[in-house]
Amino acid sequence: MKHRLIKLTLIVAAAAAVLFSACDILEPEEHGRLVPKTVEEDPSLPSIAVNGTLLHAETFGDPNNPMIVVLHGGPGGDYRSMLKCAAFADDGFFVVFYDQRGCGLSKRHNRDIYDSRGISVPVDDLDAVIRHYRAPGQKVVLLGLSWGAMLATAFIDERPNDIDGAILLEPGGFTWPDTEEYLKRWQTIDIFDETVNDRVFVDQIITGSEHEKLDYKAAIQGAAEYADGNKLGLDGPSPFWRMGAVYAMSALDYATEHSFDFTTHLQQFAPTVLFGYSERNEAYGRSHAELVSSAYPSVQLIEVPGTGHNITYAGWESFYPMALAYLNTVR
Amino acid sequence: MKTLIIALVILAAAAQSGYSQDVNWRTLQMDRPNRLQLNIGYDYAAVTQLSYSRAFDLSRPVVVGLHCSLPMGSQVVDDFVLRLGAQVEVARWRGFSATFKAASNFRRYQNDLVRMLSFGAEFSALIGYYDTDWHAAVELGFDKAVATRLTHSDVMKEYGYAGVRDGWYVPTGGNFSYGIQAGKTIGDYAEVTLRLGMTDAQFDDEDAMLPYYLQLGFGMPF
Repeated sequence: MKHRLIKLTLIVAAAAAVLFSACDILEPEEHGRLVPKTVEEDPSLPSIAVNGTLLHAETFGDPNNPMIVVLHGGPGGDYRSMLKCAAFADDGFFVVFYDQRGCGLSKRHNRDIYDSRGISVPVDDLDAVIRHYRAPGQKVVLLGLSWGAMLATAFIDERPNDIDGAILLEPGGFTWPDTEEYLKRWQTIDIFDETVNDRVFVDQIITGSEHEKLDYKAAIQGAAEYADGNKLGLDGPSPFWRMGAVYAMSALDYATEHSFDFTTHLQQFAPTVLFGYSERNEAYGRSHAELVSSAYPSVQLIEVPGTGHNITYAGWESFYPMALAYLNTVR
Repeated sequence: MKTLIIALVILAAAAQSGYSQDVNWRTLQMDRPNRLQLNIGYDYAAVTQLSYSRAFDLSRPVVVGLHCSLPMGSQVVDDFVLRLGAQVEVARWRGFSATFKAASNFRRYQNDLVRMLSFGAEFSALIGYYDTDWHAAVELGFDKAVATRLTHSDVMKEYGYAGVRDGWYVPTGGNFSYGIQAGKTIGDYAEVTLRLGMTDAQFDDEDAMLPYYLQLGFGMPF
């Protein structure tokens, strides 16, 4: 029996050795293998150098027109799924897209910078982006989805007189307790569910501390968001470049440890805010939209029909005329 | 690099003499060398696990087994783990025993973006007290995903990264585990078992989303 075991072991080992020696062996940390190169690694990508970092950024339209700054979700997402908003350029707007620091194709940063400075990092970056593009007297509207709408509000809360309008789509909340409530409804864990299974099973195959591995793993686990039974109302994937895993983890940790309240100066914001929620997001709904949007003094609340949380992608046909009507009042 | 990889694969395959079940060495009988065990619990997913093992009386008792772990969920066979391995009682003093387990494993994972086929190796050591009625032991283990084949879907290439490279990636991860296991003999042979503990990713890697494991089992020799 012992000899049989040894024989079997040797046969399996030999077969495995032949198999692997015939294949290319790849290293997951290598740039460009599993996730795309960032602006730091690929200088051909469009970028701007602001506030001590290098951001992946693009603009559409006449730079002298009223500016729309598009803010993607996450934290840790990117603007690829929001590119349909470039259509506002044909309506007489100057549309600015950028991947937030550490996200998408923007330069990566280690988490110590987020851990020490928290929300001031993306707020200061947004300020720097606006300053980079803004001409004297140019109107600026912020258009944010999910986390992007929270970031827009954090910015407005600090500088309520700097912005001329805001389109906010399903921000989790403007305080940590409101956000936490939303997250609990969205991420209710049923360990017998395929959605959870898809997210946790991979932990035994891929572990990492390097950005590339973590970003790749976050992208793979992100597919669970639109798995059958998801509460966000997503019926398929949305395009993305790279998940900024380090930023996502540190932002959540920071919020958990320090909490936040972006509502302290919102009453000073004079323009009407267009606040949208989707028809299919079971975790959001009108009641949460009313709760969150009540922090602003003037709100136009809209339900975007036929879509889930990815409003600017899956719900574009419904969202576009609503947003354009609002933008024309700000112009 | 390639030599190192081949050596790791051989090491993983050579570990094929081990693993599988929670064995109480005091109730092991060579006239009933076979054993089936059913576990339910959480092990990087809510899982159902079925094991078959057979005991051999070599210079000391060795238990060789095959273990299958299936996560629950609407798609039953898109993800699973197979383990082939063995365990041996390496030392004994009065009622105390030290056990060494080794196994090679094969994991499959699939979602909308990727299919992963992963070969790995697991090693663990247990020290505990074993009686004919019960046993309890502390367990320390390490599980390395040595080589993983990533095959990406059209969805990944269209919605994610078009330049993503399919192939064998080495290595992709590793996790330590620390915990306890215990068992109570029922009747003359059957046993209910409990394993619980936590996992800790290697080096400074980020830990699993739920870094714990829990298995309730029922074993029946025949």
